Amino acid sequence: MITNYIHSISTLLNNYKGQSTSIAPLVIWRIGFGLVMLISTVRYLLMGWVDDQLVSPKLHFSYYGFDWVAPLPGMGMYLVFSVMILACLAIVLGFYYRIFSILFFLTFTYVELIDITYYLNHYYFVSIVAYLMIIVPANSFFSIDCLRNPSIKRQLVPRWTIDIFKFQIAVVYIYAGIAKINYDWLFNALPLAIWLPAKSDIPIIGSLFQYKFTAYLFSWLGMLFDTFIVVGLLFKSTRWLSYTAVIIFHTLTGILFQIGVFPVVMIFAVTIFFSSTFHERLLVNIARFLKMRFSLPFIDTSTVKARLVPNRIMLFLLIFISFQLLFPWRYLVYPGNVFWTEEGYRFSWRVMLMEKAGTATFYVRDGDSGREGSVINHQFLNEHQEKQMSMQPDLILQFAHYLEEHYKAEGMSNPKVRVEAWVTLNARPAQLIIDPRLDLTQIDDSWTHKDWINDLNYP
Amino acid sequence: MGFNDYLNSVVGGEELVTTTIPVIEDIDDAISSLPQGRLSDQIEAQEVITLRDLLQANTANFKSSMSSILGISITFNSGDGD
Repeated sequence: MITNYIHSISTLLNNYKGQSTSIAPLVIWRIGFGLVMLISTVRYLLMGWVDDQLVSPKLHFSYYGFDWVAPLPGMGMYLVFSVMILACLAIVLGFYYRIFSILFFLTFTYVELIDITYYLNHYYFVSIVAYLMIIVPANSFFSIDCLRNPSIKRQLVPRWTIDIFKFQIAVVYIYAGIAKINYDWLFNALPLAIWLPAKSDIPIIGSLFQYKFTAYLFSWLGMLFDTFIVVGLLFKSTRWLSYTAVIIFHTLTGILFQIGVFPVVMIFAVTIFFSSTFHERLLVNIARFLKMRFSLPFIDTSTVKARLVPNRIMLFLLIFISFQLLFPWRYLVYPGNVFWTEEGYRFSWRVMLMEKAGTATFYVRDGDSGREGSVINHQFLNEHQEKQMSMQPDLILQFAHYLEEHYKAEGMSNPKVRVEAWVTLNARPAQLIIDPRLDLTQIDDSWTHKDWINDLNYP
Repeated sequence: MGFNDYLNSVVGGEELVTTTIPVIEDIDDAISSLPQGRLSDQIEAQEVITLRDLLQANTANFKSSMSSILGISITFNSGDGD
């Protein structure tokens, strides 16, 4: 029985390894990804965020294990962004594609790792896609590289080079959907019951937002949309309907919430689910628009057998896919409410899922003299950092350690740091997230359960 | 509709009003029991320290709890996504 099962899986896999498909979706993906990233990077620069978020802050909150990542001094960060912009252009044009896709992945991920308070799921998504872009032959058609070196030109690629992006998009949506299956979201319509009434001044639809019913409707529809949209995109008969839903959903969330370029990224990304023929026609139209000589038909993809996918690629895919499927579930090994403790919260596609805010007052005591004073957070942090830090236990701990080092450098031989952090989650009464008597300098962050976080009083 | 009514009408509002009002009353009392004379001379008086502690304790009610339940998104730059 089991051997039969394994046998049929290996037959399926072997069959899959031999399958190839039109390169057109991958080429459109390359151009689209390059363009969206170009817009996003230029926007970041024009907003002045390089200075505000990266250069000016006195300290940065780091990702666990990445505290060695620091911004470059002087004009260094602008140099990084110049490289990133060049890399986006080169990706669009397919110009020295491999080198520039590596450069884009490195520069983007570097900037992302500088400060965890700017963590966004969609930055993580971009990093993953940028990494995958390095290993797919997206420049093998309709690119400057093909003009430079016609031998790389091909119209067929192994199926995995396109399916892997579909897989990643499916993970984003489905996990975002599963994350919405929780009591607050479905049965209290929270946090939408807080957010929607606050937006009731939006023209036309705004008047609907004052009703509790609307919050419930949006909560359930949002959960169903995220969980099942990929199924709709997979089948030809429901694809356009689903894509229309994608556009409506992301436009609406884009209007309602401050989520920047995220809707644009997703509205573009799901086009990869469209058929090869759709992408081939799109390529022809782009070529025509650019007055280039270009002709269909593409090779009849059904009759050509591609080379078998090498085992090292299969192994990579196995590891990558397993990681993506398993990592978001790690919150299950920690006790307590994941929204409250945030243990296993990040990198799990929990998008716009909770309303959480805190006020954290730190007290530093001179262990020798016993004198204690309170800290004025904004002398060290910008407003964004303070807001994020005040409700996330691991960041509170990081700041406490920073204060310890700071006051040691100021000459205090034995500083003790404690915090009074009042945090409210989804309209629950605020409560202390950490025992205010605890000396945080004695606690170190780790992957193990943070038993120094207070339990949520109102589950 | 007054502000109190509005606050009472949103999710979690009643609880916040219930916890905040006594604190504000305590603050009022503490202000009335401040010693006479210039505040700058009294800065280390116990009454002033008590008032400071009460004001500090009330900060979270306004700064994070109230803005949170009213859905006021305090962002310091327009944010990039999610």
